[in-house]
Amino acid sequence: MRRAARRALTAEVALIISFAQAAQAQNVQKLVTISTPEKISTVSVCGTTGLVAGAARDGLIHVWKLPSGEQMASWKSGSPVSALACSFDGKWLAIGGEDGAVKITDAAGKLVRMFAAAHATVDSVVFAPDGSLLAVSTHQNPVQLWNPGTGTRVAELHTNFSGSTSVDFSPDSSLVATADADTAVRIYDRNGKLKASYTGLLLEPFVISFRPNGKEIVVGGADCAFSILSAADGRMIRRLPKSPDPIFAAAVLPDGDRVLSLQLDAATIRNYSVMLWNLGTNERREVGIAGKNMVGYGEISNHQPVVFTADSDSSLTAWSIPN
Amino acid sequence: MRLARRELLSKCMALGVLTSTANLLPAALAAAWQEKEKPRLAPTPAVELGPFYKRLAPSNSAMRAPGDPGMPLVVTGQVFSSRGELIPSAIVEVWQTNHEGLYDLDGYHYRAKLTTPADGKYEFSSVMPGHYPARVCQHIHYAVTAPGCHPLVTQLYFATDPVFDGDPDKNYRRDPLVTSRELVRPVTLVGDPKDIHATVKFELVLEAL
Repeated sequence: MRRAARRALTAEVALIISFAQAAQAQNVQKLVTISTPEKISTVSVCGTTGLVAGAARDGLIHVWKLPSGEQMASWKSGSPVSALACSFDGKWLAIGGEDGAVKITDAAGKLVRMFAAAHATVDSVVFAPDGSLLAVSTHQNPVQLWNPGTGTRVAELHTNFSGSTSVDFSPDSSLVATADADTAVRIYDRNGKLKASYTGLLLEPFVISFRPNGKEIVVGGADCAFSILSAADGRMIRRLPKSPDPIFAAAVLPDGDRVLSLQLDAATIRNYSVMLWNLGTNERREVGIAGKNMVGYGEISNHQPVVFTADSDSSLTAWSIPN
Repeated sequence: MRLARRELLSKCMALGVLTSTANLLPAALAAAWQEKEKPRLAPTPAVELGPFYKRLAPSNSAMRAPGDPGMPLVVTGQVFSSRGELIPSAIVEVWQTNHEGLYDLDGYHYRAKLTTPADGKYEFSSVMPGHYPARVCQHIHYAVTAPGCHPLVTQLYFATDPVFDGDPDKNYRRDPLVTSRELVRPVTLVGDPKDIHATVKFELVLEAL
């Protein structure tokens, strides 16, 4: 998923999705299935342009048009890819590598610039909605903010130890929030100045996402529940009832009220479920997705939420979630 | 005659063979040189934090409650900086599964937050952690912080783990998260047959700032 718990996705957890789809197929609709030469490990939707980028771990990058699935570009990055993000205007791709390097390319694969973020695998890259900043998470290190236009580092954020599991920008790009391994949630301005934090979580948060209003932040994690925090001062606004399993990835849908989550059984850290939560009513229900390896989430041209799964036969399937 | 380093420096400075632009006395210069030449220790390799760290663990070093199933285990060690100095007041947080491979997410069973005394030593009693499906090896998580040092997040593994098939030198990579053989520690069984327990020594070296 776009703001997934990178650690869970890359290290301890193999996300195998194998649902009995029939009973709940009404929850999702297959949009398109795309054949790919290599299994796609990460997908990023380019805002509402209708473009979506995908990367295989060995460095093969593709850009497709949705909903047709037409391939617009394809190239080899040259080194193993561990993270991928597309800017909201579809002009730029940020490609993070296992060598700690970040490449900025255009949507046709032309290298614009490259910079070294760390001597560690890049776990995630996230563009600010206005494209002016790129948040780079590297393994076990605090998030770095970079100016993708110049290739200069703007700031390094803070954790007491280890790194961050998830990072997100506010819709107006003025704030960046991190879910940190030391269990804190921290909110910074776009210069990396700490504005607020929430340290009331005991267990590690794995996902963080601004609601579309920009005023609230949704956080989920090992405590099996979503918390809604104030983006202004970090205070807890509300906590949803606990679910049985830890929340490893999530995305707030465009309506701002629904949250799509990926949860793993705490005992095995394997058997997973995809849930749709309603923040207003506290209801949650399982979503039926037939496929394997959830690799991305985004919204396409009509603000239609779409989930991507990579299948064992190296095909990529896009599923739309009804509004 | 073999000269001590301090004497050698003094004689060299007196003879004009060695000069210092820092306007230092030979003794100060020698002390500075000796400080720089102190033995350096390689920092303990870092490993994944893992998904189930929990803040505010109790400072109780007896993580094993009486009657807990599983092989009793005592882990001891000392915390050093990479400059070779023992670190007092280091915070050593440890957490692990029970012998069946389950983490306690609701409470603090098998979780502890310890503070090292002046000699940098730490010790806790527990049980051998279990295996669980998503992880190959038995392991104990560590998060260690201390003033003047970079934080260390790592994991302790056991040479007796069946996964290593009796040969951790050859097989430690069977768990992709085990990045260094150094983290796989020998296990010693002690006590009489009716009260046997395992002991493991795990020294921790934090990289000095």
